[in-house]
Amino acid sequence: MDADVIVVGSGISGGWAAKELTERGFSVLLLERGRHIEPGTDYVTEHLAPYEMPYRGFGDRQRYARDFKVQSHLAGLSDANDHWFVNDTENPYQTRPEAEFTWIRGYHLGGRSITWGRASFRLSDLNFSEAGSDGHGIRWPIGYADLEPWYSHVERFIGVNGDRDGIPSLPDGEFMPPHGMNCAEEHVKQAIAARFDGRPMINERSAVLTKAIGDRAPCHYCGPCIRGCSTGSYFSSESSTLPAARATGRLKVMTDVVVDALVHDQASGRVTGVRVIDAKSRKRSTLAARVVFLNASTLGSTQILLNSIDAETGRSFANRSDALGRYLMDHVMGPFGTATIPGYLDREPLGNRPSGIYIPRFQNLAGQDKPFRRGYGYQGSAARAMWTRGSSGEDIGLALKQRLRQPGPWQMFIGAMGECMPYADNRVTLSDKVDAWGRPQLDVAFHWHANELAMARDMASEARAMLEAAGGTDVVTGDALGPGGLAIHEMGTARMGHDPAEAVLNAHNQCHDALNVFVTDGACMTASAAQNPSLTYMALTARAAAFAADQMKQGTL
Amino acid sequence: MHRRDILQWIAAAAFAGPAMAQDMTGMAGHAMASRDSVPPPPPHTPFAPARHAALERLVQLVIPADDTPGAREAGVPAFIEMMHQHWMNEEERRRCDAELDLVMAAFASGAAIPAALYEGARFKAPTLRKLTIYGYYTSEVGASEELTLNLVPGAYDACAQVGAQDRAPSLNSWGIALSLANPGAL
Repeated sequence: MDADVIVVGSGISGGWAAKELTERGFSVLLLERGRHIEPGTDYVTEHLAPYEMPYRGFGDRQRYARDFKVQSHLAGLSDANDHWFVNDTENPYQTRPEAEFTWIRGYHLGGRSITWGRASFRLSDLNFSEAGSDGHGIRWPIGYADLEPWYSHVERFIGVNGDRDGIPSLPDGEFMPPHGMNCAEEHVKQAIAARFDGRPMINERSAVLTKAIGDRAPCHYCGPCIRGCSTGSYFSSESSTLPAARATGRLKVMTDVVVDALVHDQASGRVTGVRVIDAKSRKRSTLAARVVFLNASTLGSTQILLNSIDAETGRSFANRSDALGRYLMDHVMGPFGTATIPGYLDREPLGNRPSGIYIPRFQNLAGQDKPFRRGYGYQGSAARAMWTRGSSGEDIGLALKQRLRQPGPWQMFIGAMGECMPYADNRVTLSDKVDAWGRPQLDVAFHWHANELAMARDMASEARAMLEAAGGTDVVTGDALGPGGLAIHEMGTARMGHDPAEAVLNAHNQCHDALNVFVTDGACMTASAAQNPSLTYMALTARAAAFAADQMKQGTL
Repeated sequence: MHRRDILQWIAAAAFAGPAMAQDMTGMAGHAMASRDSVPPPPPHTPFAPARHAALERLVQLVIPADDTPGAREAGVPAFIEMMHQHWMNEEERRRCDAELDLVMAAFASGAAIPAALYEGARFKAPTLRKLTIYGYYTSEVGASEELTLNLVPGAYDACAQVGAQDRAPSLNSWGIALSLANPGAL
């Protein structure tokens, strides 16, 4: 045995698996396909001014056109952060124009925990009970009560700021004080509350510290968290879970190791190890463990399972259900509204708050009141317009310079994020093309269905109604949906469910077809809900790791 | 604020104490990247002398010096030439070249400037105007002398009082306006 448990992937959920399992006394071998990252010293663009970067934050666009064709769909990809995203030429997958999926990812220790948006919302009873009850998807094998203590466990450790808002469909958690709304946001909040019943606007709940936890300092308000945080003020694997796992003395990390497949023993019905490829030398070997946790990201874990083929059947050992690779979801994201909020010109935020506001789902909460199922919420913020407003206009000279010297008017932005249904034809399969390591590439097909398109139209019209109710001028809205994947919330391709005939994982995130394999990244999600999902992945991982540890102690795993 | 000051600030704010005279990063336990880990802009070939001179004159008309330096002193011509060579696509490059042709013709005509740079109310070189603004407010002069640059504010005040003489910040929460990073087109 190389370890009690092999954890594949060091991102948001993999770090949690490593922490929980090592703290419960088990040795963990953590495999990361990307490079090693040293917290702090490898955050090479942190606190750089624009003029200290080669393209001043505009990005090396010619290189992106060559080698970042997919990643450059990400608004905000720039020379301040492009080192956190894969070179698409070196990491190809197949997709097609009529069902295009943009797979945004980064291969390095910590994965997308360095670049995530930090929004941390719990799912609710409503979310767990809706799935499978309205003709969409299947039932979750767990309910909110199963996850509630694990949400608390995770929130206390990572540090989440927010208010206890008392909203049943968005349960409260263990919160530090929020950063707080600015005056334009308060104005919009009050106007929405006055005009619309049951539509509170709240502080976004965000995994950024407003009080120290151990040697993690409170936020210093530099702004662009995506560059990395040397004070560990937001949750990442580097700042939080990996140091905790290392402190046990039971963690071994191997970077630059690509997992090819799991080794499945048909006689025992168990997985005995992991076939790996050295990312640099291409040398292949097999590592052995009692238990495997797959946390390689939704598509990464799915790719490994699809490629874990039994010699006798010629099929993946984990796919008796035929659900593996199907039911790919990504949040409905793209529709937005912006407006100028008049007044408050003698006020301005000082410091760059790394979060914003949230308008929780207000649709279909008690019976169906919209022409679509489920619902959506909005994230957003208000800020004084910057000098960039000068780029439109015809004026030059001192008048222009003096115009841009002062902050511009307040502008409010709200962007929607909504539930995506699971559809069998939104699917990843193995292509006949191989990657640089000889593994079959993924082939990803995704398109929006009628429910998502109806939701998108409503997102834009409700955004307009709220911004107009707030006295906003120059209201602009959009209802366009880009290709799937741009919310970077891909999930669902190895879903949980009681019935092995329709789900890949059981209520403890174990593979129905091999109980010593756990999948606790986004692949496990039975339904997407409208909330940002990472907090739920962490809670599911901690819960599954505790279960696995108990089973190993009892000798049943 | 320069990077060494930021290091000191973080150490001080997070772990203020009598040991501050010691190595501050070491004391705080928060290592930071070295300033040299990011490459400089790629080298570029300046425009031909006459075109370079016209570009210098134009950017200074767009953002002149007053109590702070103008776009020429801020190095905007070199920024535009670098973007022209290494960043723009073919269509944008042609458009910039054509705009600079119009500007040179206006300068050579002997007509009054800036009136000759307008066609009715429309400025004849909108792409170069936009690039001048991008280049100026992302330069050290534009970002930190003309406007306010505070890379590590250290605290958050949601609605601070702002006076008529206070200069706007040059950065926002994303480090720069999100809509400008990786834009589809100029």
